[in-house]
Amino acid sequence: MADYAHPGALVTTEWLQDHLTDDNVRVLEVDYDPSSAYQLGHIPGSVLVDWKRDINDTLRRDILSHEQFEQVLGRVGATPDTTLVLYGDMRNWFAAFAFWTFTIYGHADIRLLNGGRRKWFEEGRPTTEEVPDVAPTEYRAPQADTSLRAFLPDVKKVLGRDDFNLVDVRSPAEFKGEISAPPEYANEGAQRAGHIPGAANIPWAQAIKDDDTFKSADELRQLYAAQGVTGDTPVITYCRIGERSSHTWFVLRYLLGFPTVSNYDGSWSEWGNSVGVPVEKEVREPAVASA
Amino acid sequence: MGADDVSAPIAVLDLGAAEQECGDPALERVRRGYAGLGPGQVLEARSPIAEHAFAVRAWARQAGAELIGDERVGRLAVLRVRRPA
Repeated sequence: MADYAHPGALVTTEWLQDHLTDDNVRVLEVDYDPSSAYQLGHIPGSVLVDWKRDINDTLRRDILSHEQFEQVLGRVGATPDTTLVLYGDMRNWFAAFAFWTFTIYGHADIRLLNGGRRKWFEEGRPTTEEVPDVAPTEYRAPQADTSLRAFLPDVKKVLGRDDFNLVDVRSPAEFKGEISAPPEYANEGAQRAGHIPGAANIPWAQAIKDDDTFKSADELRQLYAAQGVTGDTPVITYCRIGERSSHTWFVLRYLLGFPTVSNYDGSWSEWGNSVGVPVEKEVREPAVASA
Repeated sequence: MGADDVSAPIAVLDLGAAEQECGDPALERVRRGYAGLGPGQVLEARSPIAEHAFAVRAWARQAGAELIGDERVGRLAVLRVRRPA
């Protein structure tokens, strides 16, 4: 697929339709708002993963625990050998977030549906309101790989360093501090608007085409290199709550093959509310290495 | 369309706009608009995205809203939902 570094991390809509009934394939729809998506219709055989309930600790702000991960994967009937195909609402953001968390907890074969729910519906492929009856499993996961996740102290440590790239994938209006969160998301707002000093603004949507599938590897390389992000140095991605940045984390790690990419899921809703951390609003010229 | 046309929408929603900032799902905007309708009033939703049109149709069926219009105008799906009188 388009010379990607890890093409096996993506499946096409055609491939998925041909493999819907494979015993070893489990299709998961990961939704931010199932009542606006899965519950209205979904890919036949797909199992709902509710981002708020299943991928997050519902009490403290954190991703699901190792134990919760085992419970979720058991509930959807997966084993460590299962091929998980993820797609979901909101342009695949939350599917990408699930991809990131499932990778942290070591599931071996995870694939993202290229173009996601939107492309499936655009192409008029089969849908159903029927919820599949899944036999649960006892899923055991390996130790978590926390190197894929950045916390606030990790980001503070790299401020001002030129051997790290910070990539802010939010909209230019968010980056420039004109807004911190849309009004309907009051609990995602921040005391301060702007961006983390030194970050490059490369909005997540620049990585996809009009049909929501990913741009070619060459186009993606050029997109990020134009902002000085080449993979030669470690990269930390962030947005507002870590879901759009999971999408870009996927692009950098799996499509471009950058060796060290982590996602700062605390993102702006943590940084912009923290006391004493620096905030920038000015848009700097990108630091691009000369050819 | 005359001023007394009962199928004239009191609001038109462009569901294709403003997705980049991680705002509400498109259908949530339809639900909010519908909640503000009086009996017999009509809301129009427009989108070039098939997923949005699918969601409006399925939601209308599940929610008991009357889907009184569902047509294609160029690239746009134009759907009208009416709150039952």
